[in-house]
Amino acid sequence: MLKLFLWLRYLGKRRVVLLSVAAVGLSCALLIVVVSLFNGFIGAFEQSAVDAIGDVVLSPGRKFEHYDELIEQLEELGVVEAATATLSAQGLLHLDKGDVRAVEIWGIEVQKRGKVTAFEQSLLNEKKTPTSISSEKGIESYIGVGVLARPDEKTDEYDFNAVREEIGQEVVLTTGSTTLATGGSVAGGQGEKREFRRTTMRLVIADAIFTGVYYLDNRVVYVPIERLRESIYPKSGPIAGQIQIKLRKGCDMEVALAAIRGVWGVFASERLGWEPYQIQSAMIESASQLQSRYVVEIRKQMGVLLLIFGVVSMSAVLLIFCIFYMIVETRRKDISIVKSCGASSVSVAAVFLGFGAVVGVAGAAIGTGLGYIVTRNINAVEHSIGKLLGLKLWKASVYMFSRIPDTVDWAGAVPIVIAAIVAAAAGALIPAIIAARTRPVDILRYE
Amino acid sequence: MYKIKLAIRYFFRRRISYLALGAVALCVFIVVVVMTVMTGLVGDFKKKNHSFTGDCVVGTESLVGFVYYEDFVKILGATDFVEAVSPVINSFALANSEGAEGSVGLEIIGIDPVLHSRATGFAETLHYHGDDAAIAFQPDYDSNLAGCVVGVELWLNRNSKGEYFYDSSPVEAAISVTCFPLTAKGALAKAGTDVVNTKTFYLSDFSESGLARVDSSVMYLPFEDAQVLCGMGGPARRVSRLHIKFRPGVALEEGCQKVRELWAEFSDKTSSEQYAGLLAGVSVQSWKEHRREFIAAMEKEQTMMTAMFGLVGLTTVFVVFVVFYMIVSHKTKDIGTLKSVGASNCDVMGVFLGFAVLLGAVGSAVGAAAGLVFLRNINSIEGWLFERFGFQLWDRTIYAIGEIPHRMEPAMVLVVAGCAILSCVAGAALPSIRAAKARCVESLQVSQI
Amino acid sequence: MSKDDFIIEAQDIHKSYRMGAAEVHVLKGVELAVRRGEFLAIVGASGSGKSTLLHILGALDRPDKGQVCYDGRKLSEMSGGELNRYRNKMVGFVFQFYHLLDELSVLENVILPAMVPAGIIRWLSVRGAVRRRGQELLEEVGLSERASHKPYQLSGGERQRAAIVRAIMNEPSVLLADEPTGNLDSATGNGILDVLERLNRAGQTIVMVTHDERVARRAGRTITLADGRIK
Repeated sequence: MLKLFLWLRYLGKRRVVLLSVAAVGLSCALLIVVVSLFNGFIGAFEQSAVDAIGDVVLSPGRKFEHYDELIEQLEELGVVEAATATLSAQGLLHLDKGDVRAVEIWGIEVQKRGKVTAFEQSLLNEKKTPTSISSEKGIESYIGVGVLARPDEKTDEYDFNAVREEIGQEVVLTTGSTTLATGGSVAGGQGEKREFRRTTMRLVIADAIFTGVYYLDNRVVYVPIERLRESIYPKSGPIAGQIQIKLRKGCDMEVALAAIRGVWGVFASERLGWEPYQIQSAMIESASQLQSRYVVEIRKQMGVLLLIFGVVSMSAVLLIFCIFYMIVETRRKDISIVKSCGASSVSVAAVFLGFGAVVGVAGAAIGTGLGYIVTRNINAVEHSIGKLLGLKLWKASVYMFSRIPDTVDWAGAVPIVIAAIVAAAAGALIPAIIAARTRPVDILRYE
Repeated sequence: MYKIKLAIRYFFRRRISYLALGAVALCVFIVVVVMTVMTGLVGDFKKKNHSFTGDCVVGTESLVGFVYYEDFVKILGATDFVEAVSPVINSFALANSEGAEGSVGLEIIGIDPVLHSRATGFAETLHYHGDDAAIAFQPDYDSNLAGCVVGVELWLNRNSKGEYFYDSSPVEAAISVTCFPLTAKGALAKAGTDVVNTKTFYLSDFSESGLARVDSSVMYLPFEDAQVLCGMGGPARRVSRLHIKFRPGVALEEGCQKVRELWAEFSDKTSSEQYAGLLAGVSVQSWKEHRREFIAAMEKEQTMMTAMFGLVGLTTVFVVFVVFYMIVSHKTKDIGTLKSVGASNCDVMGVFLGFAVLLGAVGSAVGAAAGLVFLRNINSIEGWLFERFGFQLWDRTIYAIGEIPHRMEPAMVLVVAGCAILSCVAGAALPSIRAAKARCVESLQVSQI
Repeated sequence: MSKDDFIIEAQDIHKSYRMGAAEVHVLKGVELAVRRGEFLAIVGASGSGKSTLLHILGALDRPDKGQVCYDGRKLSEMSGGELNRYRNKMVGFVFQFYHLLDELSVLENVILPAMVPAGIIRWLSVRGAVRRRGQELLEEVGLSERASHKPYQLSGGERQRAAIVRAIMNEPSVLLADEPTGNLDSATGNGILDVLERLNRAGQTIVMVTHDERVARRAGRTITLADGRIK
């Protein structure tokens, strides 16, 4: 009861205590926003890889045949939901008079791709399974929106209506491949002379792709895998360069990778007749493993920023210390009177320590609320600032994504909240000790 | 005089003021270090972009290019403010090195290496022929072969120190380059025996400009070869851009404005020519405008960091406010005494504001000094952390950064110190006003011990 | 006796204070005149308003009603700057609890009234003379060897003597002393009263408030403040 009484009478009525609550709240909010934005960015970064290439990628390092059989075997595994083949090449796309772009060509199984990646969701016009019927005008292709148009300089947004008008246009794609000088197969051995053979494909824009990932939207052209293969490897049978795999929900990644390695090992040895070193050199990685190098860097930057802001947030501890110290100094007589009435030193200290923790709890609660509001509305905030200042702060070309990730990282917020409460109590520690050590006789004696 | 004396005495005697001093010093330290590193990185980036581009660019975005450039080059050469002009072909190509399975899409830049080195910092980026750009396209292993200079990131990887491992001479490698030849109307030129659009070049050198995007996507080719590959040869020769360097002492904007005027005049004179329509898309830009897309991103980062660390200044205001609130609360008796001997409200405010200025000045000095010491040793500290713990703030295999910038700009430090002092004054303002307005008769009553 | 003989006059002084919800009417029409050169003691019980009256005479507080005139001039008609000058040069205060500044030495405390009105440049030209006067005044009260000490190093009596020296530094017309011996033992208190008597003999006008009749007897004239009025 003494604690509550003193809290209400002395501590609760001091307006300056609100300042310390505000300081804790602001620090908490700042750190929660930083953690949420960075972890959200990392999450979006990893998710973008999964949306683009599936959960696991099997890259043997060279083109290979009979991929349909491999896919069938993989899909028989309990951990694999679906798999699809891709074949990639680099090319030059001629769009219009004087408009040539360097692009990355992905040959895909148009019907199946949507089962492994978010391909269908990113189509601008057709939100259903696209058909891969090639017309007389050319091969149907799906082109990244950034290849077809430039975003507005001020808003960084695409004019999707203008992009839709490009659909149905014919474009020309030049690509090439190396073949053996003797005209042998593509998967020939080392040491044989190779020739670069140029090939031109006439495409029709069937749809535009908008993933929100800058690189994909600005560089990639999707065409049916067989049409690509016919153009660049006309003498070869159906081949693929990579298998992209979607795993079943809830399966263990390491178990899945081991199973896929097993299937690949047997397939490459028995069906393709590859040597062990060729089989071993195949890369079988999850999407997040592929991204891990960059994710580590992003986490490092987050760590540095949190450290800096954490140090600055220590000023909140200082504030609490100053405020409580001041309260203890000006109320020494009252503390002495309370002690002379029988209150112990521990209970007196507990008053201040406890109230410090209360300030921490209140501040952390406000900070969490504020952090939540700011994070969830970060895109609106960015938009408003952009309108006010006339410039776009977040550009996809710089930060990879069109939208700032706006999910609150609650797992990251919990340690921050706990740290805020502990720090606030720590700030009140010394004043609490001073109050506890006050000798009534020294204070109540007349000067 | 007593105000100064009291301010100094309060500063040294009140231990709480050391806490505020520490907070100010820490904030100044953080801001100075971050701003120095950011400013250094942005400055370095701008310098590299300037070196890559020269002072001024006359050019078009379209890959068709523009005609009659030789006449305009002559006009520029006759002026007294232009030092060098380099005509450049710019397009996209597919490159395939001998033996490799696939091809790579990249940007080709056709140049005369001597002219281009005069107009830009091209020669300084070369590894093997930096001393003599004239032989940049002559492979050491056979100078008769048509050489090409490749962006270093296309061929080599950086180690953890950010260095490339170069051989003593470029490896013998043939690279087949395929382009889209375009007509003057922008249409695809028909591929026939009279229009060559694939040619094999031989690696003669690497270019390390320090710009990640350039080093990972650009190949330099001899000007004439590039012109033919892109279909820009023939009777109406075309070029994509002219890179211009001004004479020393010519201000950038002034020089660019003069070029604009010359171009407008030239464009008028040639308006009746056959291909004059291609001149309509030509613009004259300073190097800053030309590289705006890249520089603006970095500058925006810098602005955002400045704004974010401006928040750090706010915490200084908070801390100083509370410290002064505490001090004023303790000093009500002194305030009453001062007023009882005739000190005015302004005098009382002056004591505490003077204290705040002193706090800000000393805190800034301490923070700036600590920042200077830290920055001088920042690269050694990073090196030690990397050797001991494998920690590197920026992984050099990913980021195209060399040393961490560490040169403190005096002007920037003064601005930060000024802001710190202002923050202290702002924080102390309300408590000082409260002190000034205090009724001395209340503070001098018996109950106030 | 002519009006010129009165250095301070208080006419119909009323003053109230708010203590929580209640309003306490402390002074209810005080009339007072202080002659030049006199040693006046105002006696009253605790809470009678004697300190309040002293503060009003010294322009540390304003009356709710009534006038205080200094040398014929109404304090209510003085500007803020003129009131500061009044407190700096015309009156000197001695408080019950001394109110010396802990951060300044004894000498610095004593010369504080001389430092207040001087700017930096003027101070540089007069500081020598001011410090000498301060030293001389401290010698007169037996504190010359304590000039460089801090207030907390002095006894109560020594602190009060230093406070008296501070109060007369600028040669004010009137010395206002609020219970100057209230915090001291009788021997030390007598020592302080000796100092005040000495000053009065030299021509200093002194107004002293006290609750102690024995202290009041050391003054030349005693008046009693009771029920908010002079009896």
